[in-house]
Amino acid sequence: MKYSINKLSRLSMLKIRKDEEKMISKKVSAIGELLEKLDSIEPPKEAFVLAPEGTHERDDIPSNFNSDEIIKIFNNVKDRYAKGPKTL
Amino acid sequence: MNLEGYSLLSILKEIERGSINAEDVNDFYYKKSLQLNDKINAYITLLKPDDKKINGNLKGIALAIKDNISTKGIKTTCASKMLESYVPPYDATAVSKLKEQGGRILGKTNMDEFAMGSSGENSAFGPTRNPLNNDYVTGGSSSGSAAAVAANMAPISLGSDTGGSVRAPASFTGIVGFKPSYGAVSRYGLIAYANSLEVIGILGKYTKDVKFLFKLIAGKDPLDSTSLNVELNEKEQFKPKILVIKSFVELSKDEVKKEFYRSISKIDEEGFEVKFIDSFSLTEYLLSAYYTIACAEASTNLSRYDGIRYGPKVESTGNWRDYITKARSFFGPEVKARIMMGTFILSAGYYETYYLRALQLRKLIRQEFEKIVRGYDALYIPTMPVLPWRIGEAIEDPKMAYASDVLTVLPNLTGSPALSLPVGRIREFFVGGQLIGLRGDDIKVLKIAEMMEEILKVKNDGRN
Amino acid sequence: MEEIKVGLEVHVQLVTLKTKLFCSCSSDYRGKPPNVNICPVCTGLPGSMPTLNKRAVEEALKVVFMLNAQPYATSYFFRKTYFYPDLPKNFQITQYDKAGGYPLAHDGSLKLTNGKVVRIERIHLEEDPGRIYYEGSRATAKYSLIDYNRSGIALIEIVTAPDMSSAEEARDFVERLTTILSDVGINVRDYEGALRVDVNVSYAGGERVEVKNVTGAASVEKAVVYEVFRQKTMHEKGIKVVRETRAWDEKRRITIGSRGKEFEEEYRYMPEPDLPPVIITEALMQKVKDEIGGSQEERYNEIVNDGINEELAKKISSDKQLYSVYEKVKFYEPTLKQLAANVLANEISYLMKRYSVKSLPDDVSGLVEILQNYRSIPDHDTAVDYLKKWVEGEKVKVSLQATSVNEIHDDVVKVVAENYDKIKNLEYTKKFEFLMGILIRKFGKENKKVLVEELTKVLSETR
Repeated sequence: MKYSINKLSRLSMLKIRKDEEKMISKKVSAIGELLEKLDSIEPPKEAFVLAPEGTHERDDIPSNFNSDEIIKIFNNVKDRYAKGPKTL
Repeated sequence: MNLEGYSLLSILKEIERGSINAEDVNDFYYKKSLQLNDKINAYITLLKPDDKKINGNLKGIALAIKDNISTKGIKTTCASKMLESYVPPYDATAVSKLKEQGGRILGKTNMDEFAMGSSGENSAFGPTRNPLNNDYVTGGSSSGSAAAVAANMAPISLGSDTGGSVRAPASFTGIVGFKPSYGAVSRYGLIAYANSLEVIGILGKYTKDVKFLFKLIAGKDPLDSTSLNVELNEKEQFKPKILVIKSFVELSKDEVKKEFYRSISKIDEEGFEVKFIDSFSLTEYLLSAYYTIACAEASTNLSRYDGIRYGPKVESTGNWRDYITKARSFFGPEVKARIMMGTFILSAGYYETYYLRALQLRKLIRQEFEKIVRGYDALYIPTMPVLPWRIGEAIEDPKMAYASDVLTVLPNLTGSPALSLPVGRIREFFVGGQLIGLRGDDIKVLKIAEMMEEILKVKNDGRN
Repeated sequence: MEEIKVGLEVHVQLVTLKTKLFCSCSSDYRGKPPNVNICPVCTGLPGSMPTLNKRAVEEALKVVFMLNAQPYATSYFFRKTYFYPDLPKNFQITQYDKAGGYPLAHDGSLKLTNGKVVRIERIHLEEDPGRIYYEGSRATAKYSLIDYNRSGIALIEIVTAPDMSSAEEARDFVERLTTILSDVGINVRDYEGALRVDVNVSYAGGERVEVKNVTGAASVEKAVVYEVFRQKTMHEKGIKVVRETRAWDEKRRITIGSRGKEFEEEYRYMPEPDLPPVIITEALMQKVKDEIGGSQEERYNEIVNDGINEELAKKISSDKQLYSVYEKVKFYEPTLKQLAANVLANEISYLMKRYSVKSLPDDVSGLVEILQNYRSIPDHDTAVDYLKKWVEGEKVKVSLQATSVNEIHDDVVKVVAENYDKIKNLEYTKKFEFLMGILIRKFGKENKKVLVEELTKVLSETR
């Protein structure tokens, strides 16, 4: 199985601390072993989606949530904006 | 007043009769929790119930709620540093249903971080300790919800079950744990780990309590498109037809097996029709299918935790990548491992190799399950192949922890209702037996469990 | 001249919707203070779940049909994962045509003004991200300011084949598309940023370069012009054009390469487990088709076929409301169609502009009354006064000259004859009601008694 913990943590935007490294790689390889078993399964002829059952019932009628309740929980707020990181 | 061993239903009856009031009941469980929580670590947040009178089916009684179920104005941490101070601005549908029917919240229970784990040890707030022996794990991930009920720190509790998270701790603490059919209880407000597998479940001392609470929270919710109405009416008495798959039983440790088979002969004597078959052909792939799907869904579900709106406040002078990566370092190692494997599974080229094959397996598992179980009222197998292990053991051996899910993931893959109840005793522990029905047969499964409870009388520890 | 290939990915907000794609928050966000139209779903709070706005599928289908595309009976939502501060869940719910997925529709086309047909590969539904603001410039700002009001707004993405071979054609495509959208009420011109385009350009068989987020037809043209110039220059210098994504700088009218090494573009698509598939039934398609009522071209042809001259037909067909009124009047009283066309194209469209009238009344009986008595109205100003009343939704009563019973008899016969096909299979009372409706509109309520008598007589004769 070809994966590198470095690459996966970068793609997942996770940083692995030194003290976690051993434990995480143990866990990753334990899951990896379970994945390897799938190799012996005949793959489906065509890709498919196993979607949930259910119907779409929501009509186009607005009902507004009290937005102040959400702004209250934001970490950093400026003039009702959520203050986020630099993007460049 | 000592309520140890009381069922929720008998408490409600006593309140109706006027011999006790909700305030006394809540006070009993609150005090017990205060006294025991240092040792058991069942609650992350414990609330002192107010004494306002509330009407409704639950008559103002306070219940324990797993800390991954959103509660408006009450911290909901998922037992993660990531959400250590997160206070949801809304209630999960199951919670608002309980409140509407006179329920209160006694506290938010400890769990494996983001519901990832089978032992209750993966919590940022320390492991939950088994009330039956404090050196042992409670099972997870709904560890606190199980321990609270087992230790009389709550009359009943809500948990969630993605691959056995309600049934495993119920089995390890000797109580009843019910995982409803997929969609039977709305997931709205349940903090997602693996959407297509999970459902909110109930943990209680007795099946009748669990059934009572299930009826209060079940039903189609316009906020959850995957929810549905399952039959809630009970049929008159029937003679259950039970199927046992021997290869599942054989996966268990000898002492578990022995107790399990003993329970079969007892129900057989009491008129259950029990049939045996040798094996389920896809048994060895159950865990592979489960972990592939769960990790894939988890990796996208958990990408929202970036520290921008909620979660840890990040100090970063760098750009957004630096900021987000810093915030996401607050996940614990189990969560990081599963996110990374999910990322791997969904990466270009591996989607077909792993994810698609897991979907294919899931389809085949569903088909085989339905074919085998149709014609019976339920499948009956042990819940856990092992007894609780010592706290810390599985951390050194994650393979062992993953392997302990082998008997519980099947109903999550098929969407079936499943219930674990104590069916035998070994030393201070119990052996849990698991009833699994066809999707939608929730009440039937609960009914059979009630009959078995009556026959087996495993817990002669109190009034009922 | 070397070959230029341009393909577009056009993102269109379904501005006719009142709520967002996956939650019930109001979609009316322009000019609002930041973060007022938000809820747990569109801010990605833990535990929240999407629910699909049914109407969004119908609005999207209108565009599908207008672009001659084929809907898939079953389509799915997928999660497209990428981290960015304006994307609350760090994945976008969209549709996907691989991994077993199907988008809403496929294989459509749009004809350019020069007659060339541009193929449309697929059309799918997706959610808009939030918006980021900066104090000062993006480069110097110490932090970003995020507004989630736009987060979750319903979009359709229209993906074309690389069939356009010039900047003008790309511009024309966007202009034609804008007209087609307004034909079904999606007036993107009225909403800033409601149409945004990713422009793919390749020159002389070189790699394709994607220019992200270009707003409006004119900018699309400029972006293509610049990109062709840039790629041509590189080509001439012998520098290889690399496949990349560039940003459009509206102020400087240039495209800018992303700085530094971007990570390999990996979206890790997976099916959205919280949403059932979108099922398009025959009944739903019929419902949407009924709502559309054809393209401008079809409307024009129909009016010309009625014998109306081309100039009037052009004017009426270009406005859905004028056309709808024309159709209704024609239905009630076919003989009035010429007069109706004149009045609609001239007086009524003048009144609409003059008094900024947004919508004409659904009930055209007042207008029919005016038109029936048009010749007996003493002068043009009085006629315009009557029309103004109708346009503004007031009740109109043109004082009718005393009508002789003889005249009425002839007219009743005429009305019965004209409507014979419509009424022949109706039972008597239904037939009677239907015809009375027409007659009352024509002669006014004050003549009801006479009309009942005459109609009874005429119907008994024709039975």
